[in-house]
Amino acid sequence: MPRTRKTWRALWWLCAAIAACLAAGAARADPMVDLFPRAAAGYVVAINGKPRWARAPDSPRPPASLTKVLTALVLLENNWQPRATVTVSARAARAGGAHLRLRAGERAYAAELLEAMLVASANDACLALVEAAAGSTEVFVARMNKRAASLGMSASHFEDPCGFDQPRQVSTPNDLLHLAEAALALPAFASAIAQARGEVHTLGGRKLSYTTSNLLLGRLEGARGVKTGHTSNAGRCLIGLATRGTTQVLIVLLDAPDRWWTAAVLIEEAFRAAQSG
Amino acid sequence: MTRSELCLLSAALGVALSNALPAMAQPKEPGDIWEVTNEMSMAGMPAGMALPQRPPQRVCRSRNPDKPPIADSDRCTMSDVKRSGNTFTWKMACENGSGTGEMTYVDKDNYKGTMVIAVSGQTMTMKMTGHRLPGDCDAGEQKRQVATQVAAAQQRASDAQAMQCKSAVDTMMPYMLRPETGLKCDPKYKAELCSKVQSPEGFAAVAPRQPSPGAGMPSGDLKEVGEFCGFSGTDLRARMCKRADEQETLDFLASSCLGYARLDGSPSAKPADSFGSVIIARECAGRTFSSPPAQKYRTFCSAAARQNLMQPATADAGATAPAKPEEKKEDAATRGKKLLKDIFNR
Repeated sequence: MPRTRKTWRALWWLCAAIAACLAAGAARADPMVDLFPRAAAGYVVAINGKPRWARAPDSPRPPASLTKVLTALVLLENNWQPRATVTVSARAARAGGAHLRLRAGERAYAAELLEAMLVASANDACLALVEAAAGSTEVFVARMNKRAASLGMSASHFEDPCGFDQPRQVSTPNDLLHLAEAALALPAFASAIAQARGEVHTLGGRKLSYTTSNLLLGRLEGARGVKTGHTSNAGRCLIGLATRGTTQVLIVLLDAPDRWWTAAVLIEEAFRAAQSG
Repeated sequence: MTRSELCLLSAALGVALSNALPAMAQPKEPGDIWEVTNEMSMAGMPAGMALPQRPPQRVCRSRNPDKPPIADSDRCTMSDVKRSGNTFTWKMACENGSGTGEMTYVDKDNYKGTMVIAVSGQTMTMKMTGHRLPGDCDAGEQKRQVATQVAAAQQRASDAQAMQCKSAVDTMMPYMLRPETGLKCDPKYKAELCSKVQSPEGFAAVAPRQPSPGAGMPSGDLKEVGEFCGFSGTDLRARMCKRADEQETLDFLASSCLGYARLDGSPSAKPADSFGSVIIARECAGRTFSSPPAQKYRTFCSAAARQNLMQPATADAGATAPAKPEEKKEDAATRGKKLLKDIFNR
């Protein structure tokens, strides 16, 4: 008897359900171990793309300026023009926290502002780029949430493009790990986050220097940077990348009181674990 | 034919071809050279099937008139050997069966005989004929060779065992010295291991080991070694780490003592009560990542930070990890300021 379209559809769903069950079973069979309970409120350590140790990896917490990784991703993936000039709005010039001291009305190259946003976590550069790309933070945030959803960041939600605390601004170690992996696939991002210092040259002739907020750079063997974050609600946060030989270690720390020592210990342990198999 | 039957057959064949000499190393013993033929068969074997046959063999046999030119082998033992005129009879007990044998000297240069062996419900028969060849030989030669080979094999086994026993001491794994493993190690190895674990080097090899997750699985951890040697591993840790603490043996402290109580050497989640805490407070605490501890203490302080991170989250945190300025408690005014302006957003 020939099978009807309905029968085929039912079979397809059955197969999909079985596949989902198998996938869930596989995930359960390989649980991540919380080897460092005091490392952070939430953390994950991935060795060569495979999560190895974690604590509360799917618990939502404020991500602070780790948000800027998604901001950079959305900027770079949407008609990115590195030589485009960006005009700093009055609102951007008033941005609190880490900033370059850009002035309202000043213009600068997009690529330099992006680098300052990622390396020094400059909020004025962040807001200027967001406004130039979307016209308003609201429109840009909508793009961010759409992109987060497409990355499978199902436990994340963003309300501020630069990471300031907002009631519903949350992400998880696992979501941020996926985000970092996606961003690192972009050469412009990978190149920017590895810088220890840089300069923004306004078209008016001012030179604004900055240094990285990532203390691992230059102090920990193989450290390649990525992003730091800190707000009063989020605590000390970090996405850290280090490579040695063919081994890559990527860590996400949310609310880690000792984030630099913790990151150094976790990264060293991860390389040791990778070496011992 | 099963494997055991084949083994038995070969053992019986060995009996037929062996010389009647004691097992111990022998002096020269006058013997005759015999060419012997053995033909084996098994009752009920299907037509077309045959047992493996050996070509005629030349063997040297004792001239002792009271024994048949058949000998014990390592798999079959002869007993109840009797002589009546030119005929010998005997019984045989083998590993997998038993049987009887009979042989008769047809004349001074020829004999014939039969051995019947029962194994696994099957009966095997071996017909034997022998023909004396001209010349003399040394009937003790073969036994001497066997005795030499056995002695060499025993020596090799003994050497291998000694090597394994020594390896147990080198790797500080006491389970290898336990009788259950089948190794018969000289007591000196246990004494050596138990002495070594009380030295700084031996202790440092054992102290970082964790118990095996599986019950009964050897791990060579301090508790296991202590139980094997008859002392408390916890007490030993307390003694060794106290000395390392006093002498500031940093590598030793880092590998074997962090996370254990100064009071009694037991595991401790309270950093302030643990070995190394004085050095940690003096050299590690208060250091920022960008202003690290003095070179001499860096590895130690990193180990302390690692140890601290691995403690349960509910325990008192922060005392072993270097406390940085960014960890300092803020007063209410500062906190309020941060809350309002979020000025540290980076």
